Amino acid sequence: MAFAPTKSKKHRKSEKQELSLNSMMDMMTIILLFLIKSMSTSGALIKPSQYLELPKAIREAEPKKALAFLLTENGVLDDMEGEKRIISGTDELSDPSLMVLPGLEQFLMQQKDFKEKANIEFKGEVTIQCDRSAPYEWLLKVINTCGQMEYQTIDFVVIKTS
Amino acid sequence: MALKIKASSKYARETETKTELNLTPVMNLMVCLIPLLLSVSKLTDLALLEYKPPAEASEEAGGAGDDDEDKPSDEEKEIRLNLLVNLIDNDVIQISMYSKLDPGEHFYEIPAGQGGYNFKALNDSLYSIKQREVGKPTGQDSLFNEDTQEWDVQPTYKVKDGLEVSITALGTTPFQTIIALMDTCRWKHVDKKRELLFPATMLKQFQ
Repeated sequence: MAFAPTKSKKHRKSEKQELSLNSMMDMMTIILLFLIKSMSTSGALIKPSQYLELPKAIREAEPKKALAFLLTENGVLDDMEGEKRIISGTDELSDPSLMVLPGLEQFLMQQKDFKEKANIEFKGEVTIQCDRSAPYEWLLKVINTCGQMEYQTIDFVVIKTS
Repeated sequence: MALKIKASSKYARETETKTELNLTPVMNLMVCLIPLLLSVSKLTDLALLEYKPPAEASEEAGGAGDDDEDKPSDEEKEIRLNLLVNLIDNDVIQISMYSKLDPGEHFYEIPAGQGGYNFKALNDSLYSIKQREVGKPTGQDSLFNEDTQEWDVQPTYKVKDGLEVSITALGTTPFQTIIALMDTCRWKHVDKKRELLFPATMLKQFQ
């Protein structure tokens, strides 16, 4: 048999149990401040390619915008998002008789001509994202080709370590 | 005498209700901002390794072993160190100075270290070469930097190429090893200070 509630219990209002958001707000504020502090516009200038693994180095030079291409195990690729476009294949890179890569030479020439036509000052700067396992022989061929096409400032993208 | 009226228990109960700030819209904003900032922020810290082959280097093209062919003229009788670091088989590092290729003080090898090239020993060796053969700066030289459009002041030494090192390696040497070698040639930490060694690296093919 159920007992009838007492008078005080009858008048007791059911209190809503609300979730305390204060601690959550504190956490969010800390995360937000950290993200704003670590945010930098330079990071957006160069995006590491999905087709390679960058080497690590102790460097301080900040990334800058320049003509860019990739040196991967599949050859020299255009630095484009999405589908990869081979500029110089592994057959060119592995050919001992070639010291200048014809595909890359043509690509660099096109870029140079485009700048001349668009009246953009040609600075001879090129940024290369090179795979950490790329052989030295390939690297020399790329540098040599860049030098032949008057690209005298070559920057390699690396992951900064302390 | 003022009459003190006691509030009824019901009224007292109503006034005691706490007024809390509604944080839900702020939370909504935070939840939107954090993923946005996470997607924009750089998780890997990228840097550039600047490689600028000196104009003279491309003309010289050689390094060790070409001392008979490139004899300096009377006006250019400046001492050149011609420092060369060569990575060869079995993780052995060769160091050559003054274009010497006969084993001795100016041409020697550093044996393999644990699990690869012994870059620590190379760093120590380059530091001693810098102290012994290059010495302290004898003056300053101004070079116009086309990138910054400013004059860069560089120290000069008793040898003309006191900041330069040529690197040669086997064709199969991975790029990461070359990068590690370039870092080794650049600095040495002495008493928590970074001592400049040979920052101007030239990548060459050993003939």
